[in-house]
Amino acid sequence: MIFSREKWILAFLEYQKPCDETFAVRCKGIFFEIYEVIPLKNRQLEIICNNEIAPDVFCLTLGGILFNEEIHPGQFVNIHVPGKSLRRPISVSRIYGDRIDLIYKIVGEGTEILRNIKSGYLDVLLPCGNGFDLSAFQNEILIIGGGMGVAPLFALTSEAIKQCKKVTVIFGFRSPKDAILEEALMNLGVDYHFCFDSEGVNVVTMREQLGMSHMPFAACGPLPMLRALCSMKDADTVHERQNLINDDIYGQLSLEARMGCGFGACMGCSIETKQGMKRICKEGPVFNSKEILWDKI
Amino acid sequence: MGQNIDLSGMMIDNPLIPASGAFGYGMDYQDFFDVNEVGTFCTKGTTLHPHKGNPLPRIAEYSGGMLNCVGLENPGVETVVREYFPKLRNTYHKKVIANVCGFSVDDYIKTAEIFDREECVGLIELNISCPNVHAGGAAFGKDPSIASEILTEVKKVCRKPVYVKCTPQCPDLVLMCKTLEASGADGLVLLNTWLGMRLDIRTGKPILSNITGGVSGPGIFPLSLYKIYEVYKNVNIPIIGCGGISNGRDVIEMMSAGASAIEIGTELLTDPMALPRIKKELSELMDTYNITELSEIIGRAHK
Repeated sequence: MIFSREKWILAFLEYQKPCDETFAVRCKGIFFEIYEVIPLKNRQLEIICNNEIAPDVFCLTLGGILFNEEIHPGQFVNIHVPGKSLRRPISVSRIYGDRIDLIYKIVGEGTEILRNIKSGYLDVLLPCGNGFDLSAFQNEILIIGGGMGVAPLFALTSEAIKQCKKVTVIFGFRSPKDAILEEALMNLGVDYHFCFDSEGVNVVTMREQLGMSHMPFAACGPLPMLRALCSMKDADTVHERQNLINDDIYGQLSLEARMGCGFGACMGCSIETKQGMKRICKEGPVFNSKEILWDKI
Repeated sequence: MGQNIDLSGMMIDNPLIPASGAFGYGMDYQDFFDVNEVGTFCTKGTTLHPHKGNPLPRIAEYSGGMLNCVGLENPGVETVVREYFPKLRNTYHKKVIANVCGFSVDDYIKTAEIFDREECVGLIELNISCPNVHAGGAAFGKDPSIASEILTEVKKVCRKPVYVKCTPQCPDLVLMCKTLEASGADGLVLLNTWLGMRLDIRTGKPILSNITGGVSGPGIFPLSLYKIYEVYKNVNIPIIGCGGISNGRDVIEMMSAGASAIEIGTELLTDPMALPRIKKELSELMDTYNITELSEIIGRAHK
């Protein structure tokens, strides 16, 4: 079977199923000849599995022609959930071969529909946004996640280890039963610390206990947690927190928002930063902590 | 088989126009398809000075589509013509419709005047219908005397055709449209989003930061269709139909009701490939229903 270049590209974009490796490698070669990076596209990805891994938390594995180079830790995919008008943005927590894992929590109608889809194909837009920039960290990186924020950080942890960085992971959850990814972290052999609100320890206090409060970090989680990670100490009011933001700490923060399109067209997720308006879906979702205007978000 | 449409002298080779606010400044869809496939497109609503828009959340959903309260975030007309248009010309070779917004009559005049000088601008769309700003916007679009004042002043400084994008919040839309026609409007764009809200099921509080937002998507299609049908009977200027179009059939219906061309918004955000898809559907439907010239079906509901 001899395909022209155009045919290969069409096949790549239209292809509905995970394919054999030779085909994928050939497609990939042609793609990189033409594009410097693989462009944002919507594709049909197959649902490999979709299982509950903690109460109301699911791991959805999708397969198709995907490459490790195509999705960077911190980027997300935007899924068309059958029956819903808007797509659901979900960060990628694991990238391996022609598969990706997405971890999501049941929070509303969209995720409620998604949990019950166990087979078939999903229309997925990827890769969306800009991921974490590991090159900005020298030899060491502290990775801090809270709640569902841990999802993209697992992909980041794997990549950081691949790049031979010294990685410390702090993940915080409400209670031990909400904890996810512990086995996966164990398998990576990374230095990790779990803490639980129910036991009175959060990621900020854990970071202090480990004496790592001034180390450059990458984080994802609830806004108050991100704010606290960038502050000198706990503060009660927004005004106090703003004044207490410690500019000596360098962090990369992944933000989330309700999105319209997920690819930069609608301005539905723009925030004001020190460098002007930025779209969480396009210029983000990962931002340098120093560009955030904390009183504007 | 022809899909050519004449919008007051601006010729477009098909009637599909991405609506303002769903297509940015034409550069966000280049990964998905050749943007030259559009008939033309409307720029993001642009004001004289940069405008930051509303805080998040700006987006909510309903079963028929979405709500937004972006609130006219844009970099200001100077940046658009100086930085965005030259970049756009690398990939897009047709004319654009410049969507002009303002917070005062003077804002509209100055912004329209700057756009009018740009070669790539084929038509000015006066947006007196944004529901998400507290001054200007839809407030102007509800009052025929203010609307016609803005239009008259803008017409004085523009050589290009000026269309007015109206709001469904206008209490007497037919009267508004007749007044605009009498004041020299070259055409009408019907309609901007409908005002609505959603509440958070847990807290009972509004989801959108601005409390209300503009409702769009397939759920409003019959509402827009009816308004266009009503206005068409009362005016003799071209109407661009807008509101909930999501497939080729909707395009045929809206043109039959009286639209010369149509704008697509929400559907592009949920399916970035919607435009080439709808274009293909439209060609197939023209075959099926033996439509040789698309322009011939405009307003056929009334014949």
